Amino acid sequence: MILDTDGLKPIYIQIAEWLESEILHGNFQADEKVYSQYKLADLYNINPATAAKGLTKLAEEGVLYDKRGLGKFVSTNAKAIIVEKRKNQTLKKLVEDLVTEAGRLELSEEHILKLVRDAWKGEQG
Amino acid sequence: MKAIKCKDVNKQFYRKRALNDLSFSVDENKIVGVIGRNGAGKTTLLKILAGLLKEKSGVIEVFGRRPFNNLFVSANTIYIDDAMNFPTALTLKEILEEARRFYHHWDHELALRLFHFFEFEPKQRHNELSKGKESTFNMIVGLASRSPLTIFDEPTTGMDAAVRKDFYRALLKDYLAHPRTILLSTHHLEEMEDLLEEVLVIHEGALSLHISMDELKEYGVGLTGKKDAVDSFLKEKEMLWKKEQTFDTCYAVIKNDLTGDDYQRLKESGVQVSPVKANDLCIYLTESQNGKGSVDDVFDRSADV
Amino acid sequence: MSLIEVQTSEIVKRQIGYKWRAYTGVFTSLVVIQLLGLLFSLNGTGQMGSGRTGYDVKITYFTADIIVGFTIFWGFLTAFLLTTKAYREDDFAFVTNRKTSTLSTIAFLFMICVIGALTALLSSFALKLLAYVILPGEEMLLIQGMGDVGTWLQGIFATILIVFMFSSLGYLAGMIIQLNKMLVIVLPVVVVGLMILLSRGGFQVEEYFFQFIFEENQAWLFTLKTIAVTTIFYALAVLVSNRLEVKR
Repeated sequence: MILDTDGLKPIYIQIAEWLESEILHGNFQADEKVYSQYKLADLYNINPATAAKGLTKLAEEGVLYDKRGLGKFVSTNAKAIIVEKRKNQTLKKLVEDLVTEAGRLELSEEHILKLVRDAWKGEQG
Repeated sequence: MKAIKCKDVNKQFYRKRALNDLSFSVDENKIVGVIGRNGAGKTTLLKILAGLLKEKSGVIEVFGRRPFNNLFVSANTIYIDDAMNFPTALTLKEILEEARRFYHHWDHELALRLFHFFEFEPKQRHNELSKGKESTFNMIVGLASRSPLTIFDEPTTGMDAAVRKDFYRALLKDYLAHPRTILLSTHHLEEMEDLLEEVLVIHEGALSLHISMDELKEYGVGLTGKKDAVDSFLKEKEMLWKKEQTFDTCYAVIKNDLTGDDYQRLKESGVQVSPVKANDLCIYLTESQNGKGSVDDVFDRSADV
Repeated sequence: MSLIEVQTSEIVKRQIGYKWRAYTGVFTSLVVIQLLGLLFSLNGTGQMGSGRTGYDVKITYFTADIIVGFTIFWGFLTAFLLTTKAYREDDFAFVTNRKTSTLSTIAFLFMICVIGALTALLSSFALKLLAYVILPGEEMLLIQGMGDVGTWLQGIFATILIVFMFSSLGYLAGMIIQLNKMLVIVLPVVVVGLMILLSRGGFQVEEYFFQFIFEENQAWLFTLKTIAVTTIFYALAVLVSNRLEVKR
C-alpha cells in the first residue's frame, strides 16, 4: 500500500484499513501477532505514535487484542467484525453516495438497480 | 517525564520583542515540529532551550534544569542550525572525531556510514562545502550525537529534494531505534508532517497552537460557496481565514467543530466542505494581522489587469 | 536516551585537547612573528661605538629582546582573538558552558605562552648563529652559551609569566569588547584618555605599571606580582563572559 498523504483520510485510519485488509486476505491469521507500531512506522515512514493510533483503533473495535508486553494480536472473530463494519459503514456510505449522485442526474430507481445488477454480473462472470 | 517546560518565557533584543509569554511543555521522546514564519521567534526559542541565549523572564526547564550556561543541559542537548561554526583548521573527519569525544551517546559507526553514503571526502573542510552539503554534514553530527534533546533549526537549508527525503528517512530510522526528544523547525511541513508527533505553531513570539499532528490535520475545514451563504455560517463559527473568489463566491477556513446538523445545513445551502492541509492551515494561522492583508493588496493600487 | 551527568574537569580536559587541535592557527602566527622578530634583530639590538685615532670599535649586541617583545605582543593578540565570535562559536559547537570554555581557553593560552616564551629565548641562539653566518668580516667577540643554567631558567620563567600576563590583558580587553561592539572604539579612548588625564595630574600609570612589574629585583616578588595581575585580569574576564550569549 502507498499512503495517500494529501487525501482526506487521516494516516492512522489508512494504517488501520490496511491491517484490516491484510487480515481479510488472511495475511494475518487469528491469534497471530500483527506488526508493532515501530515496524509500521518504519514500513510507512510515519511517526510511531500515528501507527499506534491505528492499532489502538482496531483494538477498540475488537479486531485486535492486547497481550501485555508482547504486542497486539488478531482476535478470533476479527474477520467477522471487519466484514460487519465495512457492511454497515463503508458499503452503506457508498450506496448513499450512489443514490445522491443518481438524484442529481435525475435517474430512476430502476435505472440504478440495473446498473448495480450489471456491475454485479460483470464481477461474477 | 517532561523534557521541556516553559512558563511565561519572554525574550527581547534591544527594543524588539522576540518571545512573548510563551508557555508549553514537551514530553520526553517525541518528535515535535516548530512551525512559524520567518522572524516568528522559532530560532530564539530553540537557542534559549539549547542554553545559547538567555531568557529575559519566565521559567525554562530542560530535563528539569535551567538551560542557560548549564553544563548538564549542554551535555544532553545538541543544537544544529544552518550556520554551524566548526573550526576551519579541522577536516570533516576530524570534526566527527572531536564530536565523538564530547557526546556520550555518539555513534561513530553511524556517523561514518552516513558520511560515506552522502559522499563526503574525509579531507574536506567545513567552510569549503556548498550550502546543501554543509547542512547534510551538520545533520550527520546531529543524528550521530544521539543527544537526549536533539534540536534541528532549519536543518534542510540548501539540501535538494532527494537528500531531504534521505534525511527524513534517516531521522525516523534512528529515532525508532533510539527514541529521544527531537525538535525540528522547518519550512517544509508538508514534507515531514508524517514524521512529527506534535507541532508547536509560533506566531509573532507567542504560542498559537500546540497539538498533535493528527489533530492539526483535522483542525480546520474549508468552506466554498456563495458569499452570503458562507457568511451566515461564519457568524456562529470561529473563522481562521477567508478569501474572496470570482462569481461572488468565497473560500473560508473555520475551526472544525461541525456537527452532523451543520453538515446537513451546509449541504442544503450549497456550500462545499473540504479538508485543509496542515501546511496551509499553519500559513493561515500565522498570517500577519497587522492590517497589511495579503501580498495581493500590494499590487491592488497599480492598474487592474 | 539516558541523561548524562558530566564533570566540569572532564569537559575542560576535552576542551583543552579540542582547542589544541583546532586552533593550530596560533602556532603559525607565532612562527611568523618570531621570524619577523629574528629579521629585525639581525640589525642588532644595541650598539656601542668608540673611535680613536687609528682604530674604531663598534660593538653590536645580538639579543632576543625584540623577539621576546614580539612574542609578548603575539600573546596579547592571540588571547584577544580567541574572544571573537568565530572562535567562541567554535567553542560552543560541542558540549560546554561559559566556565569550561573560559577555563580551557586560559589553560590553552598558558600552554601556548610557555611554548612562545621557550621558542623566543631559544631563538637568541639562532640569532647569534645567523649573525655569525650572515655578517662575515666582523669579529664575533663573544658568543654566550647556555651561560649559567640557573639564570637561563629564570629568564624563561620570567618570560613565560610576562607573556601570560599580557595574554590575560588581551583576553580581558577582548571579552569586554564582545559585550558591545561600540566598545571597540570606546575602550581604547577611555583607557588612553584616562592615562593622559592622570599623567597631567602627575601620575604616569604606564610608568608606574612598568616600574611595578619590570623593575622588581626580587624574583619571588616579581612572580607574585605578575601572577596577581594575571589572575585579576582573567577573573574579570570570567565575570564578563558569564554575561555573554553565544549566538545571536
